[in-house]
Amino acid sequence: MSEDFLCLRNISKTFAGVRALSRADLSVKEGEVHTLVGENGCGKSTLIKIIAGVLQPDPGASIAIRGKVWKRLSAFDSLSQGIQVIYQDLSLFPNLTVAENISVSQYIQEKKPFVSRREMADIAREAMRMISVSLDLSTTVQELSIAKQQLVAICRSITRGARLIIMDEPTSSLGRRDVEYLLSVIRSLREEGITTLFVGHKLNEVFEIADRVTVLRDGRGMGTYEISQLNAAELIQLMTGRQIARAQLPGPRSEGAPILEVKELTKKGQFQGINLTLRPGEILGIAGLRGSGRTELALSIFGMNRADSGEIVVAGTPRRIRSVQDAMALGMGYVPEERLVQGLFMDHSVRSNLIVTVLDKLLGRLGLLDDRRTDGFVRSWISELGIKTPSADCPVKQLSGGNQQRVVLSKWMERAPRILIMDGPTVGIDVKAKEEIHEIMRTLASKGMGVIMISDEVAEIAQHTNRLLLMKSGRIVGEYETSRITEDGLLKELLYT
Amino acid sequence: MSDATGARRDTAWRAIGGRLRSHEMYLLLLIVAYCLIVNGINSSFLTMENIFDVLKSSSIMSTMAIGVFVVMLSGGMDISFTAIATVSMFVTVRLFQLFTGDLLIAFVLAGVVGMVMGSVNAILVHFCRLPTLIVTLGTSSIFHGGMLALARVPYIYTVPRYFSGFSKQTLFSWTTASGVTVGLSAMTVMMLGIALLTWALLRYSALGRGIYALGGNPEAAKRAGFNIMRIQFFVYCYVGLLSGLASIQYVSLVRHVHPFNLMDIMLDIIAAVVLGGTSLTGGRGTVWGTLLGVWMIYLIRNSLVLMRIPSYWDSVVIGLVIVVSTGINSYGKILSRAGGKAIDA
Amino acid sequence: MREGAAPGRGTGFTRTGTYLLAFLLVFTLISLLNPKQFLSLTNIQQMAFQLPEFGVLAFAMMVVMVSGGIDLSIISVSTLSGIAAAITLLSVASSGNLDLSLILKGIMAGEDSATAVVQQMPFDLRMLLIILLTASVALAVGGLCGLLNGILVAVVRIPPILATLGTMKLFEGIAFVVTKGSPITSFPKPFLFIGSGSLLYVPMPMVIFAIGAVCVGVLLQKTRLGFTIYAVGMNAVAARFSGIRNWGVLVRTYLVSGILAGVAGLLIMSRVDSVKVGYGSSYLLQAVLVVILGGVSYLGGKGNILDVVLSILMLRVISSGFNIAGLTEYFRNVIWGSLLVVVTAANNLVPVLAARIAERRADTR
Repeated sequence: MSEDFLCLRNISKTFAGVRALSRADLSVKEGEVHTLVGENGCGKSTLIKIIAGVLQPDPGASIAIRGKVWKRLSAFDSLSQGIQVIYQDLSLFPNLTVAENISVSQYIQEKKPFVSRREMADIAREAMRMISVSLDLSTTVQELSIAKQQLVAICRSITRGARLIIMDEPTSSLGRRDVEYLLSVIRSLREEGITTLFVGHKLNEVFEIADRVTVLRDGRGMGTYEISQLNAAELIQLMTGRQIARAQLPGPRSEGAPILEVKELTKKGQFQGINLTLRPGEILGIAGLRGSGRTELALSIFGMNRADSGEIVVAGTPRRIRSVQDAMALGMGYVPEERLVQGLFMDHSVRSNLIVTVLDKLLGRLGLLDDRRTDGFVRSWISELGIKTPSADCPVKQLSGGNQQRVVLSKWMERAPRILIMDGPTVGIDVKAKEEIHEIMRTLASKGMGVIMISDEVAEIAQHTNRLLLMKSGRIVGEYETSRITEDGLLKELLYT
Repeated sequence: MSDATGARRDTAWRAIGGRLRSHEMYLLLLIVAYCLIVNGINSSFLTMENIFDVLKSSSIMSTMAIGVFVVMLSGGMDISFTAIATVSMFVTVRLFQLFTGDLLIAFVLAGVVGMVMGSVNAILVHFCRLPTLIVTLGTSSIFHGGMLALARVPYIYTVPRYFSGFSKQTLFSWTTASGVTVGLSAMTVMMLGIALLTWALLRYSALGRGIYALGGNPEAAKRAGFNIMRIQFFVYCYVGLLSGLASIQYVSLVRHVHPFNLMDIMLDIIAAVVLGGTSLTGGRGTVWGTLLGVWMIYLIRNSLVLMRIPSYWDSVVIGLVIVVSTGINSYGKILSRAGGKAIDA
Repeated sequence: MREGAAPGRGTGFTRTGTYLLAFLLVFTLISLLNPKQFLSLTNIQQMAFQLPEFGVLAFAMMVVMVSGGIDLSIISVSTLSGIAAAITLLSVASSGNLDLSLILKGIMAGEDSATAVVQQMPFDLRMLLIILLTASVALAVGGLCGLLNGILVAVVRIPPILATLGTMKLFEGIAFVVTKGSPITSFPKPFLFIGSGSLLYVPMPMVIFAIGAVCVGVLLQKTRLGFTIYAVGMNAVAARFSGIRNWGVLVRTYLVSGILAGVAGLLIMSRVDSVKVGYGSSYLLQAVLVVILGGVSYLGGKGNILDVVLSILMLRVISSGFNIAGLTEYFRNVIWGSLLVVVTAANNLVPVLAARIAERRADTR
């Protein structure tokens, strides 16, 4: 009966009125492989940050590491207790060698003034041996694939004296074989007595590697279970647990011609042989996890990522879409995945963000921007899409996530696109705002717009699309009428490779 | 056993192969090609005497360039180094007009003065988190202007005699067939010594690795626990130190102190460092590449006249060299990235 | 409190109000120090005649900084434009017609343009055309230089610091080759009107400066290009996602900067009646200073013309005060350098401090 390495009780965290975590519990036994599962937005990342000491939980929480209770866990404390987090960005030095990246913390900790290449190589080799991995020590990290970079990150954690390694969705960009390898590395870690907390999405990996699993749903802990005591269906039920409220979805407006057809679109290393059709008035969902090629595909349709071969047909005519301007001229709009970086000009006003795509239409006499027309335009869109902002001149960074997303949506609306692609439209938005965005989507579709919604939130896809495509490892592996598939069934398809 | 040695041999070959295709190799070939062309036009170019003379005179630039290179490695930029050199040189020589001393103390003093100014830069960059280009633009004016404002006469033409001895010293010399004495100048030796020291520092010390780390991924460097303050201080003080040393080399060579002469080469030195393969964003570059860059720029500046191209064309050529070399660098990066990320600005 | 349709107005009129206040304060202070000299007609006139050339250069720097870059070559461009204009002017004015061979001869000879060539010409239509031609040449050369900068930055993707460093050297070099370092002087009097004449007691350069300010202001706040410059400077990725052609915007930004530098070249040349490599080299630091002082972020995406204009006025007033106080140029550089450091530090630290205060307040809640 091994002891608890980590014991978290009653963890809550509130951000600006949004409850990210609500009295969640987590306990990880020493030496085990524990997975933390839950849908997007369930609070996994927040919990990880609390364990790492980067965030502080709301009062009332209890954190115990190896039996010792910590009233306030700082990042330094967490590190000193042997807790190492490998974030998605890996935090490696691209210009330094493998050996150096692995051993770097050693010579910092020991405060040695000189570094010996031989010592670095030895340290690196030792770490690699522990997990039965072999990498070329002298290559620079930037020359390595993501999979190999991850191994370097793991080795580095080992040399830092990690007792608990937390991996945040490590397999999202990995192919099948690399995933297998990573799982075997995790097994080696277990043999060495190092505890692993694996935040994951893909259920077959969970069942393959985990000893126990903790489920989070909407910030609440749904319990911790021995993996042997659960089957996939039960796990899924715990993750979603929702009754399907079937919303009234407008069907395609006409049985008529598709507004968008994609034929055998292929790009090496990203996606292959993609075929899809979109009709006016239809909401087509593309369900796929990160790394499945879904975003790359969307960007390709939108002109940012030229495919190697294949055809894109818009309103019956094959088109060459070589740039964003081409796509826009054909009546496409795009709501990007990373709202803050790709979709908004954070320090600029709501007004500026709204008009950026329609500048041509706002030119008055002498080709100058017409203030009155702009005002009218801005006012109408703020009200039509329900953007809550103190004024149109308020910097957009002060808005809530939901309102920011509305701004992003609005800026496409005046262009009245025929095709709107939305990548992860409700990520990081609270439940109520999510519903409202979905409502907007439905309204748009009912007016004849063809909408492609990319998401990995099963409930969202199941409830708000007419049809859906399932994408894995760059291919479309399934096409369904949404009304004919259950949410659980969909989740199973999605999460199992 | 044989497997291990075989593997090690392969890695060695790969390292050599990598080096053969490296930026530094291209530059070296370019320099050689250029020298051959110039020599073709004017055969008095490629003589032993000339080569050693180039090594000697370019030592000043090289010394400063090494300092700038270290700063750029860390991800920063310093354009105040020529101001620092000018001020160090002035303060030191002025003091030596009043008190006697010897050249060694002159070097030390100039170095210290340079370091003090460098530390000002370090404080502003680290504690005030100021962008390095703008801050050093400001401190350049402060140092240089301050010196000119406070000094009654900013020119010194009566430099103590022992200053010039250094530039005339040679480590060993010989006479060529044509009766010319050629020698390995002490200046060159000093410069090479600094280069070697810097190389060793960057390669073998934790501080040196920290500089590379900071330039490669500042966030990760912070998280990894590097002492960022120590690295920043070192880097800016080092360029100050080297600028001070270089300035005394300069005085030794020209035997006068003039407030504007050293200022003009600032852009040349930055161009040289970039030419040598150091990345503007940090984390990449070598001492050897920097030296090659300096030699390339110096050769261009000083060989045009041998090809009977009037000196007015100097700036044009140097400007073209900067534009073309950085252009190839940047465009090459784009081409290699073309197959990669989809999302790009 | 109404702001423009464009971004970058900062917090609107309150911010510009602060600048206005600061300017009035500085003006009053310096006046009080030595009212007889400072407020004298000659002094005000001198300021009014000299300020515009610097101001236009500052506008050039401003436009580029808003786009997220920097242009180190503006001085070289203005000099080169001036030289091209000078050669054109003198060749045309002497022969009476546009004779290319004369212009070429002018380049080859590169001597002090002969005073013998210049005659006192009445201000008539022919002269006006010649002046217009000269001005066009200046703007065209400036524009071409700017275009080169733009292509290097936008298409070849060289970081702006390096690209404009290289072109600065290049343009300076070309200017040197053409003039061999000597000045070109003695322009026809009517031409000098641009830099030394007055329109109803308002100095002509001031008129040009005001027109320039209005043009740049309109460009930035009211045109599509201006809006996209702010967008690209603020967030080039989001700009791309919104359908903006980033490279086109950047090329045009540097083109504008080049043209403005050309205008500055014209102003300098017609004020001092000569053009020479090396004029105005101290303006570079001051241009960066005045633009940053004027609220333009060196990261791009923010800044507005009114604040920059007030900042220019402030700086020139201070400079004049230095003049009167008899401060050497060197000491002034120390002040400019210190101001640059202090202002940038303040700009940087204020949000950091504010965030830390907010954090502490949130923590204790």
